[in-house]
Amino acid sequence: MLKAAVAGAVLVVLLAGCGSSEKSSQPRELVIAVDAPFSSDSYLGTTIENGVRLGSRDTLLTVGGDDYRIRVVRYDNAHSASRAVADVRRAVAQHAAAIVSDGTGIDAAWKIADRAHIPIAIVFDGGTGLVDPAKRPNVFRIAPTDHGVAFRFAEYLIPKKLKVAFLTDDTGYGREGRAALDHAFSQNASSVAARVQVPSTATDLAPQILQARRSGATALLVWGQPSTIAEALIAARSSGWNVPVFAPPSAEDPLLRQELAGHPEWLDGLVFASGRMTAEEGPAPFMAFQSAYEQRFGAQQVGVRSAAGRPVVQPPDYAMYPYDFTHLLVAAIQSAKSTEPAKVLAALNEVSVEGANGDSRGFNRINHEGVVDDDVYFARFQGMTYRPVQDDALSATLPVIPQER
Amino acid sequence: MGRPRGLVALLAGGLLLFPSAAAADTITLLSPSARTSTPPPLVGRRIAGLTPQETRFPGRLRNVERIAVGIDRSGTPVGVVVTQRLTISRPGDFTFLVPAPATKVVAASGSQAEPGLRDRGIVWQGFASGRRVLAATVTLAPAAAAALPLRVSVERRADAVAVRLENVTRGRFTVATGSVAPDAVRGFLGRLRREGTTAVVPSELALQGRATGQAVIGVTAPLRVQGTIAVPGRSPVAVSAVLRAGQPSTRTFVLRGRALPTLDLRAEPLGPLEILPGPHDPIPSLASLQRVLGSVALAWQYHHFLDSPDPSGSSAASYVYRTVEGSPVAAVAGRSSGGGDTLTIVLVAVLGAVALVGGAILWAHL
Repeated sequence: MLKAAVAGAVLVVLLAGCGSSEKSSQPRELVIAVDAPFSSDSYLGTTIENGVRLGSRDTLLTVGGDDYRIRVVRYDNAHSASRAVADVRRAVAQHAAAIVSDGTGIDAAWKIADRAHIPIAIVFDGGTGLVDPAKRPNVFRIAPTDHGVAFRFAEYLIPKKLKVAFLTDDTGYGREGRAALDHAFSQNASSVAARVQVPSTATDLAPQILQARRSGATALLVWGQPSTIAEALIAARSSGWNVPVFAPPSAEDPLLRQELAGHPEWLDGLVFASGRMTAEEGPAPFMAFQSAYEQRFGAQQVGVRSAAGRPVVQPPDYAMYPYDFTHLLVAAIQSAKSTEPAKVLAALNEVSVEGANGDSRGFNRINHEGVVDDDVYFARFQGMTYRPVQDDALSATLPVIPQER
Repeated sequence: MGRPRGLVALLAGGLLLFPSAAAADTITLLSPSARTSTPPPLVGRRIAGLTPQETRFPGRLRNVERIAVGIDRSGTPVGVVVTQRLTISRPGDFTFLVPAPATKVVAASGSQAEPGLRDRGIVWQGFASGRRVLAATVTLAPAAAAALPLRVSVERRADAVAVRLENVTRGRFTVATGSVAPDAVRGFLGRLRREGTTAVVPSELALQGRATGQAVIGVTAPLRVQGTIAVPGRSPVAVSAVLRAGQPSTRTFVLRGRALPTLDLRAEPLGPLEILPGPHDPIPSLASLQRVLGSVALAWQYHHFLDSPDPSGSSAASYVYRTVEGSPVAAVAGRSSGGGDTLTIVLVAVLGAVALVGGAILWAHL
């Protein structure tokens, strides 16, 4: 009797086990948490979220007999590290498959995600210390690094024999940029005329611009928020100083052009560095991506008009990065044949995908940077749109991406 | 009747001398860049279902490798570290993977890019604005030592120590057999010597002749070995030998005394021009030609201990064997990522067996 009871119990357990392997009729959810400054930088936050949504659209993953759909959950960090930490805690509690972040608060938040083996993808901030595969195995980045941008500037500017004044703001972005520039120009100190830090809240940078001018600078490199770059241009040009101005990827932000809408000629000639939108195979992959983006979310209107009087749109280049990461995450899950976070995390080091720009995108065990330094190009503004410069080897090979509608 | 018989005999004699005149068979020669299925080049971990890495580079790549082999006092390899330098000569994007069972990789001096590391090998990606050197120092898993071309063994014999150097390169190729006209062979060899062995296109490998079938041939890659064998208190013994290519595949150096020597040897596979018959050498038969081409092909493989994404680009590898103290391989093996899985499998198996036995005992007592 006892044997029969035990045998019956075993049978029940076995049947239950068989039942659990059956495919459920409704797809399960894989959460990708997007933590970005939606309230303080709507353009950036929305671009990141849209990139993830586009990358995960129509994705139906089959893993271990179960179907999964991706659900995007957004958290607003408002550029606040403490809010970012709280957001990451909530994402962990939701068993998120990954967290896509602009980079805010990652220094404090990565450990929380690491304990749950959840990957974090930084898709905007290029700060040098943020990514370290040995110390932060769950942190990845697809965005131009400050290191790469600074070294490309050194490579580009030093041969021009310019005396460069660094103007950096007091935000984390500006401070990280200043450190990267100091490192990149350390072997050519004579190329640096001045190092000036400016408050990001300042509405008049005339004193700092005067300081830079008196240092004998023949070029300005302004590394800061779009508003800082705008204020620097306003101060320089309104004082009649027609000095060449250079800037990091934040110069692409529509905010800069909006602030200079009254004096579009002041923006003309500004050269900024960013990650290239096209690979060697040409503009077709990016154009297809841009078309898909605009069909789904509409064109990103800058809010200014070109020299020809047509509305200017911003190419969704910063949506490429979250889009590519989402594809990498899916490839990692498929490669791992599991949604178990530790396995997915390990697989992220082994997979590659074709990125939105046609380039191969991927990480590896010793490098979690998805944008190599070589991919940083330079573009020059003219009439509120920009095109790659011709006096840099990489940039000269790149096509112009249409920005007028 | 006498005349026709004489004519047949004459024709038969002519056919023997000039087989191509009698038959229009096409004999396909072994490609001098053919590869056997065994390493080198080394392969990385195979991962089923993974999308292949994109391979893209501008122009031709030049590949130079230095394979540093640490050997213990008995001559057994204890660590293999390769420094590979790939040089791009034209502007353009590059992205590729060099397969390797690598446990560690760092940029070597002079590298103008940073290498990446995956289970499958070393990854490179970037943009070359012109000439660009991609150099990596790669520590390999211990199993890579099985693909080395030279085996060194040191053993004590009475009042002497014998150092034995053996060329262990072995390759097997399936080749066409038969005969071809000497002029065709001469022309083919002349073209190889002039234009190089990597520029051969398939149509150039087709010679007219008389085919008799196929055969499997075994070949070795000739090695030039140079260096010193040193024993404390005595002048080093110079080593300069070619192993195979008409020479023995093994050389033994006997040193008096009981002290184990320190070795510093460099082994290099011979280049194609050193293996191919010279313009004044006798024209080889088809069988000999196929064998020579097999040696060239195998030597070319050993010039790619780590592969180059450009199979037609120039490549040169040198293997440096040096006596080292300690065993770096043991340290590397201790960190092997596969160990954890193996331990887990063994533990699960043991615990499962214990549970089964326990269940059976419990069942018997119910």
